[in-house]
Amino acid sequence: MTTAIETRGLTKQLGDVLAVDDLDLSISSGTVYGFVGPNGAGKTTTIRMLVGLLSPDAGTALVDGTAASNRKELTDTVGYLPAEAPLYDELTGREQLQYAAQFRRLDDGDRVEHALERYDLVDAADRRVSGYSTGMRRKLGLAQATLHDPPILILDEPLNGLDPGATRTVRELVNEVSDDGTTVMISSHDLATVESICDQVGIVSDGRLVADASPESLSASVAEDADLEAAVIELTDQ
Amino acid sequence: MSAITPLYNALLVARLQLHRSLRRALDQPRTLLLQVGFFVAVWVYVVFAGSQMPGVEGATGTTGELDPTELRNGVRGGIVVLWLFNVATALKGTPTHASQVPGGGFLLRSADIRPTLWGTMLAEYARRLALYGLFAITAVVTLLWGLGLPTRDPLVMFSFLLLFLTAELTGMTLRLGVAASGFRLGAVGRVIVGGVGIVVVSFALGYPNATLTVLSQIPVANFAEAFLSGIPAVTPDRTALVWTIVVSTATIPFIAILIERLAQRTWFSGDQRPAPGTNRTQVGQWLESLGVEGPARAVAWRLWLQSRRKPMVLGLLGVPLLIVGLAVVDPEGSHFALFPLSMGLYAVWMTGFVLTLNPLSSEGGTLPHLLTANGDEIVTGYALTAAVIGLPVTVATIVAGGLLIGPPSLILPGMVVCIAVFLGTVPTGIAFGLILPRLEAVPIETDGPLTPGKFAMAGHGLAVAVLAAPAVIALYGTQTFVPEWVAIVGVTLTLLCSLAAGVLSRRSAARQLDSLMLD
Repeated sequence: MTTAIETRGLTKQLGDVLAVDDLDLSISSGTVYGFVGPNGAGKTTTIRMLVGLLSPDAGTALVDGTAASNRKELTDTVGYLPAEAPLYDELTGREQLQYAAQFRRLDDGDRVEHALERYDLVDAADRRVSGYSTGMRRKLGLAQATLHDPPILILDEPLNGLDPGATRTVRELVNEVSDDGTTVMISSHDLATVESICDQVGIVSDGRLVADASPESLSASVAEDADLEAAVIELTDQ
Repeated sequence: MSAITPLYNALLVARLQLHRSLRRALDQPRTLLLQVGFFVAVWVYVVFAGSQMPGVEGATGTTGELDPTELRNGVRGGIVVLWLFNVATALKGTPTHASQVPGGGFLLRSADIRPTLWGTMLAEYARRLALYGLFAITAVVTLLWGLGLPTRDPLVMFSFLLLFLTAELTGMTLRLGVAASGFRLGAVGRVIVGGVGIVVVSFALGYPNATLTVLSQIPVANFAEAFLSGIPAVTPDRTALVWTIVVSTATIPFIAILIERLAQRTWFSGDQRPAPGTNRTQVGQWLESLGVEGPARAVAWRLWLQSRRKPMVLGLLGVPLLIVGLAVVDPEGSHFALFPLSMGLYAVWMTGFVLTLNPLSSEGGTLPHLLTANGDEIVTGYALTAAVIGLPVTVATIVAGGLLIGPPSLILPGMVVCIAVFLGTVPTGIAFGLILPRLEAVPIETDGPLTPGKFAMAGHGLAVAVLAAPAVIALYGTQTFVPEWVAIVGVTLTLLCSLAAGVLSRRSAARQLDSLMLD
């Protein structure tokens, strides 16, 4: 199995804070990888370095064998949804996706309509994004991130503030794309969902990877009847 | 990826940004109307009053007073002012981190840095040309045609486009250069820079001819030579114009490369600002010692903290005092009636602008008070802060104006009028701020309240003017032929009207705060 995402000694200082400290990470292709840890642990900073929006102070980050900073090469390879979906309030949902399609030279007719249907946004497609709920914004952000069917999908806190229906949509999406062989890296505090959809989980604390195994192994490492939540609390000294 | 792709993406980014700008403008028809109205007013002024300007009058040959040097300096200096204004706008609008690029997570991953940078710049350039350029060029051409001086120089349009382009690129370079150097001004440094800036601008406004003459020496002013073509007795320096065009055009690619490198270096380095301090302050204890407790104290304390974090905004309160100081240096600029009173009223208006006119602007600061205090307590908190900070400045302005410029006899009535208007307009300002709030998206890096809305500012200004009017008219009258008792009546009328306005506005503002709903 090839490696989709790999970091070696990744380090980043932000102001007075050492946000990521000598992080080694390896995610195999086709894996659904959960990236969890307490607030301020360095998850978002790591993800930003993986998508080339932040340059590391030290170490390397490779995505699909290419340096993560080479955004141009990775445009078609990676789909990325940050915690705050990068949408324009002034546009409608359909216009937002049409722009995304044009940047990627996709046939913006069928592709956009298909994405709107897939994420149940057809009825809201011609409304301004500014009027969307949190869940709708997240779904539109997901539609934008997956519009070009990227082989690697990086989702930063995609479940935050979602209702059960929207959470299920995200879960189904992850299951669906992973069945097609897409590598998914998902950071989240919703540990129950992470436990249910991820093949492997990395726990990060104070910028360092403190554990990296399957959810079952991590739970079992703490106690026989423990779940992932107990493992995260135990391993991050919360 | 073909060579054409970055260009296609840059144009797509530009189209996207212009699309958004247009929607934003159409979403705010009142603001759009105000902007268009302002430019139309400038245009009308230039067309109808411009021919009365010194120099222009002479240049037309309609009178015997020919002053081509003054006209030339005026046009050259004016072009530099326009250029500097656009440099400042570009400087303010240039993102220094990827997170500041609108939709950066989408654009930078879809189109990469070069198309994002230049597409956004192109859209901003086009927007600015549409906003200022069309009006400015229409005004200039209309003025010259109106004077029978059609500009025949083919370099006019080229110079115009280059003027805006060089301003945009200079602003971007400065902003990114400072960000790349890691240099940061502390609070004290910002106050000093702001103070120096205010002094320079005030000086420039006080001495327009000298300022335009100085500015006309800057090489950018050579672009103005294109507009001077055809004016009698003025010989445009075409050599300087052509050289400026050639040098600008030749330099632009190098500046573009520098901007790209600087953006590459700063946009992806992350936010390196140190964590904010704890903002220890004694104001809370001090208010408590004055017997001010509970939610009103909390509101005043929060407002004080926010003001401290924006020292430049707070520094605006010092502008009236600064004008008094400049008037001491140059008494020519202060020979108008009721100088101390006028400056005092300006300080009253400025207090409202800085402290009370947008009470809902900062949700993080306002919401806890809305949930824990009643409207009356919140208004009291705002009024307290305004009184503690604004009243001493107002009083000091009147005393300084009266003693240094005069007449000293205006100090006492000036203080009575200004304090009365102050008491009346602080609650009025809060009420205006609630009726006409500025509730736009607050950028995440904004650590304080937003500037008040234009209509709230205008309404507040009107309230200050209307309440002060009886006293001002009466006091002005007593300097000529009106008996003294009229002044007493006028001041009393202002006093009573201000107190009434204050009580009514306070009730109105408190009621509005109490009836606020989150939706």
